[in-house]
Amino acid sequence: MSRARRLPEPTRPLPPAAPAGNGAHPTLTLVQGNEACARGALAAGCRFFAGYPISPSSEIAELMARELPGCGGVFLQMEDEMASLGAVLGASLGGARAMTATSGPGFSLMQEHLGYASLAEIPCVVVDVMRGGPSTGLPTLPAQGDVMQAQWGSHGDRAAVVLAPGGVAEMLELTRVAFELAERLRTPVVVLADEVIAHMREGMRLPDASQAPPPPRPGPAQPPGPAFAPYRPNAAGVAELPAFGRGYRFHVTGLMHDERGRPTSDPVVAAALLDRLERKVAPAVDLVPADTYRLADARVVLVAYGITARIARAAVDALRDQGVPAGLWRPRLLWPVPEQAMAQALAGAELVVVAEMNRGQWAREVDRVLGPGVPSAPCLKAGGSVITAEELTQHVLGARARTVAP
Amino acid sequence: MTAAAAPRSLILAGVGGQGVLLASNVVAQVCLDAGLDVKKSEVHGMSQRGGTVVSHIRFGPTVHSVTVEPHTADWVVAFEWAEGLRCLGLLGPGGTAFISRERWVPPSALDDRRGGHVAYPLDQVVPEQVVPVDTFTIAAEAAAAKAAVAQTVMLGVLSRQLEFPADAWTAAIERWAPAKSVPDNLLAFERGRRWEAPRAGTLPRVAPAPAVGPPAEPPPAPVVTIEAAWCKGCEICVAVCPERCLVMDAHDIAVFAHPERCTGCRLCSWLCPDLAIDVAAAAAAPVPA
Amino acid sequence: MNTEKRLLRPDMMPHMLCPGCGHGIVFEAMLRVLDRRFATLDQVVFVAGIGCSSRIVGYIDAGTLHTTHGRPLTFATGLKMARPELTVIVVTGDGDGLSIGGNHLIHAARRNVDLTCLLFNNEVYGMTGGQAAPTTVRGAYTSTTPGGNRETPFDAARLAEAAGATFVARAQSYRPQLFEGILEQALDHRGFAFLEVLTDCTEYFGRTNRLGTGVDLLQSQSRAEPAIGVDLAARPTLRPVAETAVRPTLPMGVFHQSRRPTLAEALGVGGGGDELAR
Repeated sequence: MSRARRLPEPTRPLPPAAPAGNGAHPTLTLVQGNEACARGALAAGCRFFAGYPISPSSEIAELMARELPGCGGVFLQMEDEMASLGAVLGASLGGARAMTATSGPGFSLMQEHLGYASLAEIPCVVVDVMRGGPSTGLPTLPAQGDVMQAQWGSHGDRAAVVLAPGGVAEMLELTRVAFELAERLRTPVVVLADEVIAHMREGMRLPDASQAPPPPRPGPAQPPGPAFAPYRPNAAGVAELPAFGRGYRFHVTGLMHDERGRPTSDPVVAAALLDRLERKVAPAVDLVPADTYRLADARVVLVAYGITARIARAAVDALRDQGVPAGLWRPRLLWPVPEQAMAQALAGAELVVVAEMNRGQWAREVDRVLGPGVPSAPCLKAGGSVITAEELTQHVLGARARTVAP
Repeated sequence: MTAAAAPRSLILAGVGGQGVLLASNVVAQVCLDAGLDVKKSEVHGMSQRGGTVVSHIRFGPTVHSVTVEPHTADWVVAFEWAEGLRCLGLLGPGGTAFISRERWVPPSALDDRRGGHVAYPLDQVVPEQVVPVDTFTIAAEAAAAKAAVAQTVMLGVLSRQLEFPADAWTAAIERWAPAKSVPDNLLAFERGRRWEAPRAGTLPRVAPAPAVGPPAEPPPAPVVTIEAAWCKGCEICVAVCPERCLVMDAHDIAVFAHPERCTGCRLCSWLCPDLAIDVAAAAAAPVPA
Repeated sequence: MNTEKRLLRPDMMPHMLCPGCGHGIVFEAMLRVLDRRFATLDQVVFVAGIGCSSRIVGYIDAGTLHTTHGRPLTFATGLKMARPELTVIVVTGDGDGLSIGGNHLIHAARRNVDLTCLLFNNEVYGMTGGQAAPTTVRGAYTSTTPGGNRETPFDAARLAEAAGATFVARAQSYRPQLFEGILEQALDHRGFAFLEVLTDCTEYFGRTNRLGTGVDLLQSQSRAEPAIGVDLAARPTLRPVAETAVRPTLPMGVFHQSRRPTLAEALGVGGGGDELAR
């Protein structure tokens, strides 16, 4: 009992986010998750932030408000979340790397512009620090209830890219990755954090602040002119919109459009566009590989992300101590679902347990990939408290007793 | 009632914008200051720029009627040539008409707006009683050489015909003219008062050549083109064209049916919601405000 | 071809507006102003929301951003902060800018974002079929006020001025020349320039209220009083909106102009323009 209640180990340290400058050894700094997120954004070249205060994400905005003016950036506190993401998209179309941060209720308000950014192919980063819902719900308590919203919250079939950091250091790293993906795939990328990680403080290496930001977003290969087609995809299926006012004149719209950006109601063109938007984000699954823990010989595989994955590691250790060959598969990319990697990781498992702080949002995706052959027993908990390692351990033991032949 | 005590009659005429009413106020003020009874009426049915403005002034020890009956006026003072000629019917047998050679062609006198042909009484023989006054030439040395104060040149000319002292006139001008134009007006008045009218009988009895005559060749017709594919048939152009140049065809598309009437005013183009009408550059006619 | 038409995307024409729609008149007048001011529209970005008026930006050969319903000012704010050197013109309608986007309008005015906001006010939601708008006068029939509108409309110009817009004006489609002059002033203004343009919806508002054709609607606009050359120092107060089914007689002209730091100036965002992009 006491063993199960001990604090979970910190995640294994990530490789340094940036090479240390001037040969000096970077030292560990005690950093809050939200702060790490902001530091990651700044290191990724984010120079525009527009947001609206909301717990538990506000520290990201507060830090950006302090830091951006000093590095030539702009911080705006907008009138609401719709305006925040609107301003972010406007800044991005001006060529800036831009982001916003919010929590569930604000994320709901941003859905319209998330859909817009996806269809219009405007890079940006949206951080959603999940709290208990629905509605105002539990403003200061943790949850993982926005997983489906992050993919399906907008109307229509949006090809989402959603990252799930598993610790403070990864808040920084995955925010940087989010910018890289957004810029490369020209699409909004969501960092789906949770209240625990956002408000947790851990020792980590901060990137060298004096490092030069990444180069500007490259323009399209096509020359400007009457024949310019902003939405003609490159070899990777990505439309490389130029920034406004850089010699190109073009139309951006949330209507279905052809390669020239002209609105169209042609179902063939529209279907092809939706298809391309889905295909273009597919490489994300290779760019953001999952993390594993004691998985190699595991027959009972726990699947968890975010703070729940941290807890699941403790459960894996506890289960191993009791002779259960448990392991953890921790996706860092929730959408698009890394189906191949998941199938590979779960191949040979005799029991799969998805642990998440909701009523089974990602567990459905796992079950879908897994198919009916493998027993699955999700450990779900919604209502504002984390799943403890003890709860998860007991859940796995119970499920194993029911499903796995002795 | 003696002849001397009989009221005297003055007609001031011009077109809107020339300051007829201001001038008539000055005359009336001078009369009042001299202790005379004075009555003044104004006929300005078309008060906008270019419309006819006529003021009747009668003054004397006692005045009952304000209206100057035909063939009774002692003076006609006109700031515009055609307006002056139009008022000659009011002039009495012994009267004199001082008429400026200025020409303001009112819209109603244009019988061909595109070509600018004017039905304008230029070719008439000038009656004996008319003294043409080159207001612009007289005022030329002054900054007063502009329409707004050319009227006071005519007041200066008129003042020589009346018994009132020059001081009375300048005081009235100072009182009625807009403050910033008082110096110009006083200068113009002075020039007009000093001007020596040609002796009767020495004048050529033919109208002066117009300062600006109608062009020998009418300007090229404006070219109105209608992008039929863009026209949605709202008929706004047909309704707003002052010359009725446009009609709708059988397919409800606007057609430029009467190019010969077009003045190039561009109203059709400006008010076309479909961006379908182009008007190629041509002499722009006055546009209704 | 009239020179302003060089600024069109020819393959997009003819436009989608209804016969007699006042938006088209204002659109071409806007093009004439742009034609006089800009050799090319490379450095001009039009940002529009959703609705009939917002669709016109798609016909302009410039940077054109057709955003979401009610939110063009938010995109424009971000764009202007990222690229202060660009000329940003927001095209919005009375539903887009005053109803769903009313909050963004007052905040953009408050921030004094350096842009020109053109609000086409035709008193009705045209694109969705003629529903009541927050500008619909009392008594007017629309598809959602079958018994006549019982609500009281906004006076957009007074709203913008109260919210802090540093340039507030009103024009109308009936007098495109007056509109052009005011738009020139608005584009010259540094700060948030709000220009409401009264236009007519013939197909929905005009028909439903039996106000006649596009010609009749245009002529009814002639009752409005242009207050050209308003003495800015005198700051005339706007007249209250009369409550009749027909659009009240509203004054035209520039009602307010003042100078205070723009958002970019307040934040110290430089005029060099591309710091954020680097």
